[in-house]
Amino acid sequence: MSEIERDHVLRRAVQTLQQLPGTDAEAIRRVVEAAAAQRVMPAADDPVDVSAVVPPRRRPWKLAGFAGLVAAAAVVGFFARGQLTRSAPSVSVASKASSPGAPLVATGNGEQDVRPIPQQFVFRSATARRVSVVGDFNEWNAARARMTREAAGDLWSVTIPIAPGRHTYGFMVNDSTFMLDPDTRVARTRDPDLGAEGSVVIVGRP
Amino acid sequence: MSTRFAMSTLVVLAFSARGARAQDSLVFKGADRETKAALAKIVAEASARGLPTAPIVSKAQFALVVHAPANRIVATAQAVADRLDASRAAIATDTLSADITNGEDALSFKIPKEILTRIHLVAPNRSIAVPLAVLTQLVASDVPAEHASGIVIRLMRQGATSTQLLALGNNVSSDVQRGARGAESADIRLRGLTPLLSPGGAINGDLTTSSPAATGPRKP
Repeated sequence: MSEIERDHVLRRAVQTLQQLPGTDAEAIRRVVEAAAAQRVMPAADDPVDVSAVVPPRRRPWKLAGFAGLVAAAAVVGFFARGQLTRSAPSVSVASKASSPGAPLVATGNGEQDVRPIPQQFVFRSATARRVSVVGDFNEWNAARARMTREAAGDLWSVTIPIAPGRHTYGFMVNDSTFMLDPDTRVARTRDPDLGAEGSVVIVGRP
Repeated sequence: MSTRFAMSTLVVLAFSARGARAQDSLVFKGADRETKAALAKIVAEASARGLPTAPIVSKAQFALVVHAPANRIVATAQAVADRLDASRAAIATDTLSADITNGEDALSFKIPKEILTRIHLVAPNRSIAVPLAVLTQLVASDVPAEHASGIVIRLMRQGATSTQLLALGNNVSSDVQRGARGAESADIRLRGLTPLLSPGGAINGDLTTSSPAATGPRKP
């Protein structure tokens, strides 16, 4: 029987985590084993509340160990998340232009240039029950940018942060019907790989 | 028990957030099992090469939205992965995924990778996502690639802002949708912008353009 199987607390942690969305099993194993290594009391099969039997004078050390583990995981998670969001167009942090009118040719940090910029989408429909904007900035996932209808009207809108660049999009009505932007001022493009049409928005820092 | 349990859960949640997010991107709703497996393999290989995977996932999802056949979805995803590789090589950066992504978009419109390199060299320390986006939009509006790149590079050298570049791209698209020729519209719109820009800007001698409007004084 492994350390984890003997310790009912760790067993419960693993069981709980198994119900969460899938993740890196190797990462879970490493973290749980690290937690097991920090264990003060010997493993017990009986469901005793560990906090009730740990000697009080040793508790701060245990908490410090876990706190250190949390801090380490937070640091690792921070960088891992940073890598991931950098690759994804639909990142969650938005910011306004920091230097309006900045010329394109200048020395500086390119990271600042690619921060997402809030972009508003508006769609008009009196009969739709649900409307979402879908595009390459949210991986065409209708659940990621639901639009809200004005209380006394037929306009639906949503504002989402989008990375600078050229993006193709459309509207998903009632989660089933894909529509291009009916605004005649909006450019349309035919996808060179698929031949399908999409509306185009070019996002840039003002 | 509760403290220990809660802390263990918190620690692992820090890791699971990343995995959950990645998996959320890999749903490929509506695809059959074989297609999902093929797409996952393409994404994993691209990730292993350090490429941004969002454009691959996004294109596959778009293909599913427009009900493309399975073999076309997989072929398209692979094409995107290959172009991301080429884009990264052309603009000599592996740090700004927005640049790589917009370079891939440009390559999808058959814009030569040498043009991407030229644009990168105009602003090697800044993101070129917007110039690449406008270049692609011009080409998508039937402006020849060399002509379009000449205009974009000229505007960059003359200190055009993102807003001015975007306006040019959008105006040309709008003109073309109303029946204008792409190159003609681009030249006219460029003339409208020129008085607002620094007169010192010039196109590099190695650039070729087919339009007098896009041909500025050349450096020796």
